Amino acid sequence: MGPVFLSGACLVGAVLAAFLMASRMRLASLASLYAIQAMLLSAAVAFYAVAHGDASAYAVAGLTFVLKALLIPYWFVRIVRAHGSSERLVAYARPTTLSFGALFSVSFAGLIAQELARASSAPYVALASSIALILIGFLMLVSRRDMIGLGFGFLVVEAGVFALGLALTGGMPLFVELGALFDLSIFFVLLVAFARRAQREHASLATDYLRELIG
Amino acid sequence: MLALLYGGAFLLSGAAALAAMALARSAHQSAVTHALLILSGLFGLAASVGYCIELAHGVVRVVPVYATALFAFFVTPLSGFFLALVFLGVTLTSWYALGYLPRYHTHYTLPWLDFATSLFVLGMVGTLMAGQPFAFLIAWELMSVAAYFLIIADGSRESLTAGFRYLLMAQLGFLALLVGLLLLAGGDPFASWAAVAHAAAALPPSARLGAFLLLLVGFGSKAGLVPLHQWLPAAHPQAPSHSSALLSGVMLKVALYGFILSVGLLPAVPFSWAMLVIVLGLASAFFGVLHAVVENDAKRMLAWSSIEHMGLLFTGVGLLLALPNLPVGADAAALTAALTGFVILHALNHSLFKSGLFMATGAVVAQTHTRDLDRLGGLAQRWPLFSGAFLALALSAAALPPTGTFFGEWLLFQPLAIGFRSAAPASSLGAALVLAVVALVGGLAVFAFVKLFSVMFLGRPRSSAAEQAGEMPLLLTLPPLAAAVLVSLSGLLLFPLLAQPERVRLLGLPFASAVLPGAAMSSWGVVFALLGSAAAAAAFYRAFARRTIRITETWDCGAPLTARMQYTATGFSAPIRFFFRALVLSKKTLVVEPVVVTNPWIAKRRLSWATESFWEAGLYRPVGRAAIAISASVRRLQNGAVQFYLALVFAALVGVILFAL
Repeated sequence: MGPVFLSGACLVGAVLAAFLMASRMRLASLASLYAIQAMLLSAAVAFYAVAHGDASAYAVAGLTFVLKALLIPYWFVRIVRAHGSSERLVAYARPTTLSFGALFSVSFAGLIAQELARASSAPYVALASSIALILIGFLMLVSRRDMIGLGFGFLVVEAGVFALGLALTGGMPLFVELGALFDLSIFFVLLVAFARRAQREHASLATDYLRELIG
Repeated sequence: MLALLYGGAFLLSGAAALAAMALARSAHQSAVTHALLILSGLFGLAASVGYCIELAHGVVRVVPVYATALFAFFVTPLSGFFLALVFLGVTLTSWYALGYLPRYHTHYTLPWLDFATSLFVLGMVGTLMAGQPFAFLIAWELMSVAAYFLIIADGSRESLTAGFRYLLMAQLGFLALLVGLLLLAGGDPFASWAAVAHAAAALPPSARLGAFLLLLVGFGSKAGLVPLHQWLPAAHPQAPSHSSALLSGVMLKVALYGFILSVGLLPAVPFSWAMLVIVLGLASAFFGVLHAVVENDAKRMLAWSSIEHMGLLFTGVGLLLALPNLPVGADAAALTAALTGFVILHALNHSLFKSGLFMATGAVVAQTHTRDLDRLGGLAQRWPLFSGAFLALALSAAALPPTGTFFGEWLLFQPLAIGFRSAAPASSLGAALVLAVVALVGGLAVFAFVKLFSVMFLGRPRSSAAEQAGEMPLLLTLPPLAAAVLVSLSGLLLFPLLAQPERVRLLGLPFASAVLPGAAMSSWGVVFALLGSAAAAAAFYRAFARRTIRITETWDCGAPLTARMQYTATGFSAPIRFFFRALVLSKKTLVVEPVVVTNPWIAKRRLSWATESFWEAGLYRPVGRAAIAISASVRRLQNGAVQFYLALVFAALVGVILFAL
């Protein structure tokens, strides 16, 4: 079992975590799964760094671990509790249906990756995992009714794009990754500000209230 | 040396923009900015003269101005010619602005206006010097956006509406150019023009056709080609007059340059594409001049006339593109030379007389505070020198001898009249049809400019504003006068030169060249014939006229003679409006205002009259209504559910992936 295999295994683990996230309806559970997924992603980058001797990839793995596995899940839970928002999350479909949706997304990703792997030199598992993460993330974005669920959906899409970059180019240069992590931090700050305002206005984080904003 | 002069001209226009901002609080800001622009124009003109001397000695070279991987600027013989037009226009209009703008210092925010003017000039110069699509597009966009701020400079509602129309069309045009040029360049915006031409040769015919149509739309919309012209007569007159002169006299030539450059990148232009250019050119010339005849707003009338002349220029370019596909035999080279001469001479002349006319009209408006021809009149007695300059410019716009425009259009008429004699019957018939339309346009142009000059300057003043107009300042007289002198001399000096094939070839236009037998004419001969006729008429008059002249009131049935008895601009154009009523949609309303409430028969009656564009009623409004209807139905998608929007993105993503696989 070389580092390349372990890197692929970590990505598969990240997909499994995303699959479980698709049907979780509790904040703590969702945050824990996201932290696990981020840990697996940073481990995948670290194994990739070992396999290719890429020093900057270690830094990316470290930063990913600190920001995505530790800080974001912790802040998410803390801020929701500080605002007194409900930790019980809501969706348009039942958990079983969402699980089937996630399963379909993974299967579809597998099919797409087969075609893509023929056209590029990227490994099939890495491609399939990253596309599956993006599709599951989108599924969460479409199916969740509250801002917390939407936020986690976006984070899963971002994880998929991060993994796709790793699969196709062997990881972006460090400054690009730094830029992406900065963007993620900005997104998080905006989400918190928006959620705070929504909680104050409507005493709820449900996105149904945003329908009034159409012009 | 040439590179230094061209580079200096480019940098000076940038320095003018910086000066406009840096000296915003200074009383001398506008003067310094325009002095820098004049200096930029003089540097550019010196470079142009130097380049011409080199070309005359047979040295044909590309002048590198600035080149990095990101931006490349150089001057070729083709761009050198158009740069000379820009620098000439900038010198004249900035000279004029020194006298014109101080009168409007409360009307416009001068630092911003001068900043926009400088950037506009920088954009035009950059577009002409651009050595690759990237630099070209950046400079083009700079020119377009700066022009928007010139149009809305006075902040009036009319200007904002016209500016919005312009900006919409400019951005659509830019989009077409972006896609068209990238298509030709194989997606590489940093490729040199030579590399773009190489990539274009490898394109399939359908892609080449697509690129050609996009470029025609992009450049045609800027040049005011029908049916993309609707913005032009609304936008150009709204700008301050020195800017209108640049917009109409110079910017339109940049669009023409872009079109010639881009067709030069194509390996070949099929006959049908050339026919499209000819038809659009003729339609533009016809609709432009028709509206120029019926328009009563002096500046707007000039803008319509610009559409006419750009239409003629595009017709000339279209004929040049069509020639390789026509069976004209041995005459092909001669026809090409004559038509190339037309494009060169007419572009130069239009640039001069249109800048001059806009400046002169701006001066009239500055003195009388009206653009309405029906409120002007009698100005020739007050400003003889100025009206003489205006007459020379109007003669030039009507393509009458001895002005350069006459000789330029001669080079279009002659090939159409005699050049296709040996061609197949279909080609001869086509040439005859083109000739008929061009002749009609020429006749209407004479009508339009007779109206403009006579209503504005002859007879009696039609309003108190015209009656009380003060002295015309010298600073507002000299720049139009200089334009009038130059346009009068251009034919005399350039026509003999253009009759020599090697001079035409040296300009590097993408067409072959030779002299057309039978099209030759001595420009000096024409002038001497005119002078001789005038002298003979004077001698005849002296010999036979009555010696005693009694000055008295004109007989008018005993009633006092008033300005209301004169022919108005509206009345003058009535026959043309009637004849072309299907195309010039007139809307007449009788406004009745009772004078005595109890008796409806005692009332003031006046006729309210307006024209509507055939294209606006038949094309733009229906398209606009359809767009609004489609938007209203699409708006139903906006239900406010963010998940629904994300689902659309998701569906699009999946769709794209499936399509790509």
